[in-house]
Amino acid sequence: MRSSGRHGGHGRRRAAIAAALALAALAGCATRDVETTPFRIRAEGPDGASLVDPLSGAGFIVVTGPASLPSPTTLRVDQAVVDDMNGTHTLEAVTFTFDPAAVPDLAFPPRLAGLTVTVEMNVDPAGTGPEREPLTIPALRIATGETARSYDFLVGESAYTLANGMPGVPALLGPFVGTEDIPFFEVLPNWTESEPAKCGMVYDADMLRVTQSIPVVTLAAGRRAQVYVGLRAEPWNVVHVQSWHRRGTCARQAGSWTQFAAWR
Amino acid sequence: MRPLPLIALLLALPCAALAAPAAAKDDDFEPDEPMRSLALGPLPRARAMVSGDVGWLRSGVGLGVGLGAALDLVLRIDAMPLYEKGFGGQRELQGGLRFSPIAEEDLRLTVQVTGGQVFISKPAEVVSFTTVRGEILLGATFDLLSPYARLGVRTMSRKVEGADAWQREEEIGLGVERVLGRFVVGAEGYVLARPHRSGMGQWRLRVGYAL
Repeated sequence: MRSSGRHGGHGRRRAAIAAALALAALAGCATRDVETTPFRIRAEGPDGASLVDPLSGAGFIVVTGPASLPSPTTLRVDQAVVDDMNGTHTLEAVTFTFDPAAVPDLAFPPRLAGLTVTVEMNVDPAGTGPEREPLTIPALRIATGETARSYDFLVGESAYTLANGMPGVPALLGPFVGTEDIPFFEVLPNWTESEPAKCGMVYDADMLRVTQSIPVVTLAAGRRAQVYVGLRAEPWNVVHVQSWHRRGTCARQAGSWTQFAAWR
Repeated sequence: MRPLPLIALLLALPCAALAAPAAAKDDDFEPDEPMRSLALGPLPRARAMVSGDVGWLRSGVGLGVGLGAALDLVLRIDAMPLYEKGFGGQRELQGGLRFSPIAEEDLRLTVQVTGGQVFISKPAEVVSFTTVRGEILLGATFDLLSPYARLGVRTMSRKVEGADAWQREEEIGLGVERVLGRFVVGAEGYVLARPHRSGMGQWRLRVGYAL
């Protein structure tokens, strides 16, 4: 005759093993967020205040004047003529900067120093980045030449998500008027690579397609290419930092992201 | 070859196995059947095992049917319900064959090849791509617990301009199983390894029932 103690011992041991497995399982539910390093483009007046802050909504700002380069990632326009939704005014100086952490060799072209430049920006005072942090300048591009304008530099990033879930390329990061000697950029989805992020699966290997150029190229994250647009002999050097889209939504994180730059 | 017609063709095999005339029963002869296992084959001819597993990231249900000659038909549907909080995210349908060239009393070697399709729901459409998976499993079967090691390679077709046509990832896992009558319960931990990314640990708890 079995003792009730041995029956109870087997049952308690099985329950303990099941509980241990359940606890281990719950502990092993890890997620992995995608790291992003935005350019954090800034445009500041002589007092250090952002040119975007006084604006009531998204739009464009155009700054024209002679350029100097205090550092590779700082461009200064003196006696700057600033044209925004509030009208046209002149500032003693406007300084443009960006964080090169994502592309360490990205710099304003040295040939811009001493030239009269036109800096065009797509701005959004309510703009946010991948972690919903303030990012108010999704696109910046620089042209030289007063009669026949030609572009030399563009940099941009955006967490704006299109209706199909893909990241939208901000206006001015590509032809806007239609006559600019800039390639056309679009983000193509890649559904075979992903990371299980906290706020939904992030498909983080989207491709950047560069068209209206010779050649037409498609770039994975971290890749570069040279393409020719227009009559200038210098090619555009395009670098695709990263593009991704998320299946899922979250108040704390963006639904998509694209980040790239190009220079001559 | 598209995977769905291949799966349909493979589904015809168990029907043929079941329709084959059974051998005359000899009361003095009891054929040796390998110990039941979820991960390792083979299944007895014309016998089936249904299974389910819950895990991170993937959970699923499966069906195995013994075809004889150490060959099994395997079918599986899986998704990510724990992570996606439902079945609307990535879902994969796979079908294929499992061959167990070594099925000794204590040692098993199993090779499995499946083809499948992954479906991902978008706001206005469903995206899909083809997968091909190969696995090798080596295990030992004991009365108390049956441990096994698993190495798997999964390739996914990529219709993305500018990228390689196939994306590859590997899985390396260790698991244990225990037979409880007609049931088999098991647990497995494995690492998902992908090019240019750090490995990701995953796990699953499994239960199967021999029909």
